[in-house]
Amino acid sequence: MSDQTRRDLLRRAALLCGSVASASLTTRLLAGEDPRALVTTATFTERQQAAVSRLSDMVIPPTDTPGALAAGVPDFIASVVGHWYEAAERKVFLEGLERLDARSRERGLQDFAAAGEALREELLREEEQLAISPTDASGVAQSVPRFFTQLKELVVFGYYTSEVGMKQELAYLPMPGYYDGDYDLSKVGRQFVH
Amino acid sequence: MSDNAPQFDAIVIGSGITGGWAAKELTERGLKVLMLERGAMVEHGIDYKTEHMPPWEQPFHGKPPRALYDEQYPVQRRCHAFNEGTRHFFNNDRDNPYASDPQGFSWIRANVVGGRSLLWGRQVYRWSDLDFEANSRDGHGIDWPLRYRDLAPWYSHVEKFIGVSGQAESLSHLPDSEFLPPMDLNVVERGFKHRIEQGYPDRCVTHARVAMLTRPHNGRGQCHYCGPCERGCSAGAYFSTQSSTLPAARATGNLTLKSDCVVEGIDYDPVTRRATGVRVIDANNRRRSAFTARLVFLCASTIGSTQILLNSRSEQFPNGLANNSGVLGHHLMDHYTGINGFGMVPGYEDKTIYGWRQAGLYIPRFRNLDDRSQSPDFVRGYGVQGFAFRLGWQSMAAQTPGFGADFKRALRQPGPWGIMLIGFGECLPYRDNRIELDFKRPDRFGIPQVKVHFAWGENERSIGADFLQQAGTMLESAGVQGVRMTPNSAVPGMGIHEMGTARMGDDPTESVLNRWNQAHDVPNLFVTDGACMTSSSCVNPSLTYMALTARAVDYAAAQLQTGQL
Repeated sequence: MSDQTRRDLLRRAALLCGSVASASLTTRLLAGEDPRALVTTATFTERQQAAVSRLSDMVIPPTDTPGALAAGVPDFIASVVGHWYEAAERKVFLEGLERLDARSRERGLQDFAAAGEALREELLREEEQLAISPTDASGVAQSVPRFFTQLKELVVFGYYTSEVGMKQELAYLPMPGYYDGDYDLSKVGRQFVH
Repeated sequence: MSDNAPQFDAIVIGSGITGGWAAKELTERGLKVLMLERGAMVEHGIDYKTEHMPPWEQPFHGKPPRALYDEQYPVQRRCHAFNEGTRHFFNNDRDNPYASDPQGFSWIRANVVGGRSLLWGRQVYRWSDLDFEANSRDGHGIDWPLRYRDLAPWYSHVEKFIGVSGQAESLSHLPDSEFLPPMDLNVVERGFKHRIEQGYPDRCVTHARVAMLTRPHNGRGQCHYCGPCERGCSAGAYFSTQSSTLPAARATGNLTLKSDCVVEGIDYDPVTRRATGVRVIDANNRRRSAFTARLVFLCASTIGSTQILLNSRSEQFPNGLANNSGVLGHHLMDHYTGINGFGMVPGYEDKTIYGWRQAGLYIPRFRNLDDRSQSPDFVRGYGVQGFAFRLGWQSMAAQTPGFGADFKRALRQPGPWGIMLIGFGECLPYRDNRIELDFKRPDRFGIPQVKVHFAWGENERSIGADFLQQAGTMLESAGVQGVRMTPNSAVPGMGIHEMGTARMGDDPTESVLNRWNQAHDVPNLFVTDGACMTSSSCVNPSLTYMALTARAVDYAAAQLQTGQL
């Protein structure tokens, strides 16, 4: 089989799979990884998925450029939490989502994703406060970052390494052609990335 | 031709920087060459599978799989060039074990065709007689059997072929190369250069000298500043075996290249007192075979080459081939680095950088050059590499609290300018810093594993302390704010400039190789990689390896032609 044929077949197979991780699956297979390591399962329930979508756009909302949801960040988060995180990290993240839903229901009778904007803001600020303290209530240092720290890292990394984040929010420079270390920032108005 | 005639004129073991050069120079002299590489084939362009690949096309956008790294790449992951875009070029540590003292020695390896020439930092500097006379001047180690004048024409020969961009400075202790135009300094680096040269008339801040093309050269394209060179460059804008020496060697029609071919040892004939060839193991099916040749060039990297010699034992050489002196394996060196200074540069907010330049500034050694620059605390010296840049979203996100539209707006603009200085200190040749073979622990090919013993001495620590003090003062005097210096603790091996273990010298009782990189004990055996080095200088060594290799080939080929070999 030629390399090109192999690539085409893999791409088609990945499309048929239709899983959240299929794009990365294709790349990993192309990279020659052992496909047994790539068996995927659904990461989030519908409710969790809805919360993650809301949270993504709360961290990086649409402005004059698309936000994290439109950039596909929730799928990135599902893939990282499901297949990249270690168990202890996954537990902290999923517990964070549960806590948001529980608190939202206490105060607004609805899941976090369905809550009003003001309540969602308030709940996420509370999570940010929790993350500032390096110890838990009993004074024990945390080995795994708090939920808010995880969330912010995931959204930020996912967004600024996405096609939308790199090409629309920032200035994507994959093939500059020359070097100018004295370039007027006003000509581009944002940071270059590659 | 009799049935006993050797299969090849020369066997070159290794396909990295020096193996590629040996193959090119030998084949261009009409010799039939077999080049052996223990790793897999990497074809120029075709096999640079992550070149120009954006993060969103990579698994997890390129986030490193930590458990895999812990389990299979605990050493290689320490390399600055190791990431998901380059992992396929590096050795798997689990499959390629070695041992070291508890303080550890990081052996960074790329067993693929091209070796570390695909991944290197590409900084190239000529050594000078400050370096070649250093051992004889202060008595550490033995004298080099050559001087700068012996190597100068070979530096030129190499530079004209590989293409070196840089700025001529007419410094006697850092001689100029044959330069292409330099890669520009950015606006902050230019400001820093100006202030340092005003404040320190005896110090020079110049452009990093790099084996990267600033204009087309010998059929290769110039740099397009895409950034991650170490993924491979199909334009051939930086020197690698694939971009430069391999095509030249192939063009002669005299090269046979075998990848996945692990050299177990070099065979020796006690009657003719010559190396007769090599014994090899197929890396895929473990089948053993042998090849014969009139010449053997050992270019398997410092530790790799000496491992092969130590494993080539016979009645005549019970402690390793060409080891009558007993110094084989000893005097391992690496540069003392990982010592850095960093700070923020106020101003220049209206300026940014277009393009991703993998070069920067270089401050040549300024210590122990003369009476005025003499340090009472140490001999030799250090050079400084550096670069300035604007902080990106990664740094800004870590410093910016909150979330939402204001947070997003804050990350759109580049952060403040920062500047980094990195010291590279010379390492003295100590007999106790050495490698040996652990015959009780064979690797997957049945070859005894390497065991590394290495510790820094007081001189290296003093060099590190002086760098931290001097670099801190230079940064502050240039107006840099919030200067932070790393602790004075370099990690052995992480200079990735390992040198020595089969050193050159005039006296066969205390050196392995003579002034032509020819084994004193085995005249048709040449070792031209970092193993041959008698001292370490403080400047990057690869250019010197290339020049030594080309010079050794010239000598060997002439000896062959006149029937002396």
